[in-house]
Amino acid sequence: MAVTKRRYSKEEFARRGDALVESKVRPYLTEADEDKFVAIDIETGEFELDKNEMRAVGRLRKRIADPQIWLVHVTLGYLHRFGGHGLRGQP
Amino acid sequence: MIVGVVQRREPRIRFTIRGFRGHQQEIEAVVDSGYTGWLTLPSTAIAALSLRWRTFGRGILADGSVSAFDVYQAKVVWDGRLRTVFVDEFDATP
Repeated sequence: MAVTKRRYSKEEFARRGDALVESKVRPYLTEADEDKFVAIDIETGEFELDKNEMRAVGRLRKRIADPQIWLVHVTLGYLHRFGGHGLRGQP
Repeated sequence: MIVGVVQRREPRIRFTIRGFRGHQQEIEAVVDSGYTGWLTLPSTAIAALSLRWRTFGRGILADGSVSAFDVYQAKVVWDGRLRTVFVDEFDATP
């Protein structure tokens, strides 16, 4: 089985992901979705919503072969928040 | 129950993380109450464990700055049970 890796630069991946979330996901969100994560494939625009980020990614991976998934909380606009310990290094 | 220690004012726990192809490693990680993810690992550990890339996301650091990072999948022995978790690639102490 081929190993999936990120195929785009960090900047391009985030740009595409944000644009697709705005165009393909946000217009259809309801109040019930405000606490969910969206996993969206930046090449096909297919996406999954779930309160659990692993479930959203898992479902999308079952539908799309070798996806390039951008993962973000629909309301917060980010995936995780790092505490003070994380400042000792750099991503 | 998970038992840890406090060193240099930081709560720390030890557990085993398993990657792909049978690679595993025991790590000591700081419990960061401000972190909303599962686990961060540096790129060297991710490579050594052959973790599988799963997704890409954005995070907010404690100083308010924004950073994007790769997310991998691993299994950890957590409180006696094997659990699948996401691992954020972050070059700092786990």
